[in-house]
Amino acid sequence: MLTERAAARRALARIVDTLTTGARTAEADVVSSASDPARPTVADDTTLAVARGERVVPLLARAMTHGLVSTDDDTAAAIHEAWNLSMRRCLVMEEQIVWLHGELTTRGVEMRVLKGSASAHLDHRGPEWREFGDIDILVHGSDMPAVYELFEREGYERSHQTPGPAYDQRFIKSAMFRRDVEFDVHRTLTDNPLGHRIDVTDLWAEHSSFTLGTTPVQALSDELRFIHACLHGYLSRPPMRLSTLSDLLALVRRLDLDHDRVLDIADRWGLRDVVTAAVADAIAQATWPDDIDLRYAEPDASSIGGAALIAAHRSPATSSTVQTLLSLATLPDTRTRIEFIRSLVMASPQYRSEHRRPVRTAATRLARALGAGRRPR
Amino acid sequence: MEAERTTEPGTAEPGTVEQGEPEHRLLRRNPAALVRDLDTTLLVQIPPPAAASFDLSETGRMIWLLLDSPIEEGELIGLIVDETAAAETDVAAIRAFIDELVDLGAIEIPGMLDAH
Repeated sequence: MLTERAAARRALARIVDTLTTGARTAEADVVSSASDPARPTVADDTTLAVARGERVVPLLARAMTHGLVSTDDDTAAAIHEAWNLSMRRCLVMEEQIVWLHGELTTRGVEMRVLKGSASAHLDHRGPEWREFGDIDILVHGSDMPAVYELFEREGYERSHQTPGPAYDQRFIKSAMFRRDVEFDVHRTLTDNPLGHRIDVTDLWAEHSSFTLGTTPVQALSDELRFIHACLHGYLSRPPMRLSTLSDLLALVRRLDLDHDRVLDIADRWGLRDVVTAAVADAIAQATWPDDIDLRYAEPDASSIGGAALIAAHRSPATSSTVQTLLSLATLPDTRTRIEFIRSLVMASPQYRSEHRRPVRTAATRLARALGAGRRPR
Repeated sequence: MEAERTTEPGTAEPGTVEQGEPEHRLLRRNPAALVRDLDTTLLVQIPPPAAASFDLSETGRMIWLLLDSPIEEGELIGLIVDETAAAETDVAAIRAFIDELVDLGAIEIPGMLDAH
């Protein structure tokens, strides 16, 4: 049986699904696209608490406006108040983006706005539909010292220390600075280890733009915003945050998204598996049926070893030799492993002639099955 | 009808509204304003140097939406009266409210900005 919070989260995931359908079309089309507007979700305090945690209060408020959610007067007022507060905070953060843009432009430093504000302005029906809790920006690794110096001068404090400037400029994903608002200064889109596969020069090759007041600011291109949503959603502890789910679904449904380009970039970065898994995961979250136990919705292995073993079964590149070698990890004890190896040594001449592979080949296949190394361009 | 201010304005220069013929002065939104329209409430954030933060509802929100492009004050008030069926006595209140928005830095008078 679902807990109250799990049921609320599932209801919110459905709202995300409904309200991201045709997310760049007119608002009047929302209700016509709703799956079952005649049977609205009931929203209560738990729904609002989960919506706050998942950063989808605006979508809950919009669902209420469009009759997709029924609620009592007190809860309706609380939802509206929460929406008002979250949007007020977003405006304060956007004022900080304008300030930072001015400061960095003066210093000749390029920046891109990532996720939150960029998604709100570029991927949803309007900025009122997407809340965010911090400001993510991308800068060149070589510009990070200048950005750090600026934040420190303005009284921002860095949240986590790293090995040093050389690490930050070449290897770090992002550095966090906090004062009244929080900035994440990114060099790339995702953390170790997969983050190292991203060619950061691709991130600067093209861009989208939106305007904050009179300030034109740049964001990643549509295709890169989509890939970023996939990486952010899938390479974090599951389940995917619903605000990220909303970005991913809004983008993947856009008629003008160049899927060939998305997959080409993902292939070059060796991250196609992550992108496709993220989309499949998002769709499962958004549309999981009521009559199927939700525990089956999280098929991820819980350990690195478990994930590698599953990959060895599923990957078409895995040979029977690799599977045999990996058996040493799954057999229950040393004695059984010895018996297993002995049985292989004593194998029939016919079996041995069919499975004669140099050790180096087997090791290479094992590494490939585990996904090691950058894929060839 | 008042703007509900959530922070104090900063260095906005008040008193600019006394100049010119009110009926014919051209009004426009402060283009630097950051806004969120929540159906019944419009949240407005004016960056420095005006540095103000306030909510607009009902007539205030309507004024903002009607200022989608620059418009003369007399025409703006006429549109509001048509839309709300406001009485003759309400017009003075609307005009005072527009003045308040000018003071807050939410509305600008382009000709006067040029003069400065």
